[in-house]
Amino acid sequence: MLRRAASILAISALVLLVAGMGISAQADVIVIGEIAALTGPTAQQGLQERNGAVLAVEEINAAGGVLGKQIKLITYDFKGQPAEGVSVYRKLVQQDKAVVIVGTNFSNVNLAMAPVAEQLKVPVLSNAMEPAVTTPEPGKVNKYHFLAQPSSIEQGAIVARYALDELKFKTAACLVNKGNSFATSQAEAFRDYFNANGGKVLDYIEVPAGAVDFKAQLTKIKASNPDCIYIPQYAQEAGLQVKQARELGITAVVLGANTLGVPPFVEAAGSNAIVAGTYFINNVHFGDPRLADFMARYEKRYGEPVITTNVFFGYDNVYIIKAAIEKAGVAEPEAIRTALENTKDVKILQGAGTITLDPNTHRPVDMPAWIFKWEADGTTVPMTLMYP
Amino acid sequence: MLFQQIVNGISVGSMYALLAVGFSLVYNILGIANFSHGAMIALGAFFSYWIARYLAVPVPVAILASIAFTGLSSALVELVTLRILRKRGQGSLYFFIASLTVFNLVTAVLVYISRGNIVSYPRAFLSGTFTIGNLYIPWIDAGMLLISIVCLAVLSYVMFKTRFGLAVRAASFSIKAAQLMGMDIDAIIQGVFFVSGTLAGVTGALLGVKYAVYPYIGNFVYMALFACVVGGLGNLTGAVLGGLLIGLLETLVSAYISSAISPALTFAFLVVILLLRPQGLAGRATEEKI
Repeated sequence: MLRRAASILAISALVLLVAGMGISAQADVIVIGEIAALTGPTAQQGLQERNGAVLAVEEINAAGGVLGKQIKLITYDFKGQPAEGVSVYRKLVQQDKAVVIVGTNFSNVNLAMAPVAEQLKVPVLSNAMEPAVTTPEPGKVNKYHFLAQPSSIEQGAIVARYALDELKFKTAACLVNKGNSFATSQAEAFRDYFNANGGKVLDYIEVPAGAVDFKAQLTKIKASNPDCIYIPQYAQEAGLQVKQARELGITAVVLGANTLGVPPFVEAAGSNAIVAGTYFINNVHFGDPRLADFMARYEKRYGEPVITTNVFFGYDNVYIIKAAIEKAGVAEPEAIRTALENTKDVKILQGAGTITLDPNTHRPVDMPAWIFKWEADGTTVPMTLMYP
Repeated sequence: MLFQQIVNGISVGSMYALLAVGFSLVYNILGIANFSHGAMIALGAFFSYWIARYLAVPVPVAILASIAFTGLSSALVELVTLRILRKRGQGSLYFFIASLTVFNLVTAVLVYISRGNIVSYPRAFLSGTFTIGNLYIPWIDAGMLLISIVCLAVLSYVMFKTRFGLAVRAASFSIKAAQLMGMDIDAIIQGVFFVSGTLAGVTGALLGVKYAVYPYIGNFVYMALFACVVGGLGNLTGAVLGGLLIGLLETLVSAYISSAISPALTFAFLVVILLLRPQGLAGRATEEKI
């Protein structure tokens, strides 16, 4: 018995020793952690996000790395669960010794990660749009969380402004998944902007998370006959909502979040004809000539085209981090945090091509986004680039 | 608007009813909540999608083929779980757990294969809407109601006019007595699983048309359980009533009280119903089976 215990201990010691050697051998690399949705309903986005990040890392390493060191990217799946997001954040920080983390674009996940990041003090650069991720309450900022795209308040307001100013709509209805802060924060912003600027939101209807039948709610909306319906849900849910709205004979124009630009939206809606005439917001216009070179590089590297905006999240986030590390002059979490806070005019692909972060909110300053429209032939047409 | 909401409610309810009947069949004979029914719902949706997509056959043909497959899958589940547990003399709790395991296993495999994506049938089937006055009725909803009625009619014919039905009803009174009468109880139970599987298959395929095909579609099985409980466990008429009632309740609560809290309120109503009538709407007080 004792001998067995002794041999187990000996083996454990050996494992620790080998593991320890592994860590010390990493001293001249900079570990960036990435948290993405590699499985589940949004796996396509998550996988492309990782591809984008990997491509950026490869480019940087090929050009000599950062501060003379190579970057090592470690990506973990959060399996669609906020708790799993927290768990892999801890793992990246404590086990893999990551100095900075990128991801996710799921507000629920980053809301769960934020308090833990404040404790472990390794900064997170995310695309989680819910403003509470970086500012949990007015006047208070999470020191270790940053956002690299327009917040949901800005995105909801941009869509509302487009509906009012460009499409000349007077009335609207909001259908919003109550269980998803991505959706609720945009819908609230849309409602507030629309009501405050001469329009009227006739119905603001919250649906429970996980619902697939929205006919009861849509029938109610149909009765109040708004000019447009705003559905800032994830792609598949929004697709079902458009399909069911059309089945009920609702002809109001549908407007949505950046999740409506991906194929799963059309797949869930059933056909191109059903989604035709739907508007959505997106940070990137894939056909922008400024991006042509990148699009070709991505396709050459992976043998698949860029389908989701997440490619740009992954790619741009790594470059924003690179700029921060260079500015910090040292690859340590606290120094990177300070540098991220002072991110100014860093070149990226999204929006108008640069990003500046506001030190008081940790969110971008005046970052614009495109409004797109689905056509009956299955293409999306960029309408205009709108500033918040 | 009220009439449109009632149409919406019936369309949801008829689907719950069909789910509940298949679920109730197995409960009827064995007194066990069979959660592998959820796996069969999901397989019904995916089999018909795969067949329609990769064999390029019309959607109705794909659905028919898929129904046969889910019936066989359900019989297979019986063979590798319940049969073995019964021969070992294990209690019904073990089968309950085994069926839940099968449900989770199949869901996990489908999540893996589909990468969690939602898909729609490659060709339109029962798409579009027709109107009666200012009522909008999607063809799929009308189709589902009609198919539910046909399925229930066929099922009641099988249960009340065939030898197999007689055997099932006898076994549902007492498996022991049926065995003593020389009935092949293994074959009867397997037959019940087959029939229950076909019902899950047809509902799964139609759910796939109505909404979309996605790996968690089997979660509708929980609504089947609630519909059965409300209607009276083990009672086929009760299952239909329970399904329709839940569908209508959900829709009307969403429409007239609050959409966000509709699941909570619906279940609160169900609790009240069960407090008033613990045996369910159509149920009679029963004793433990097996």
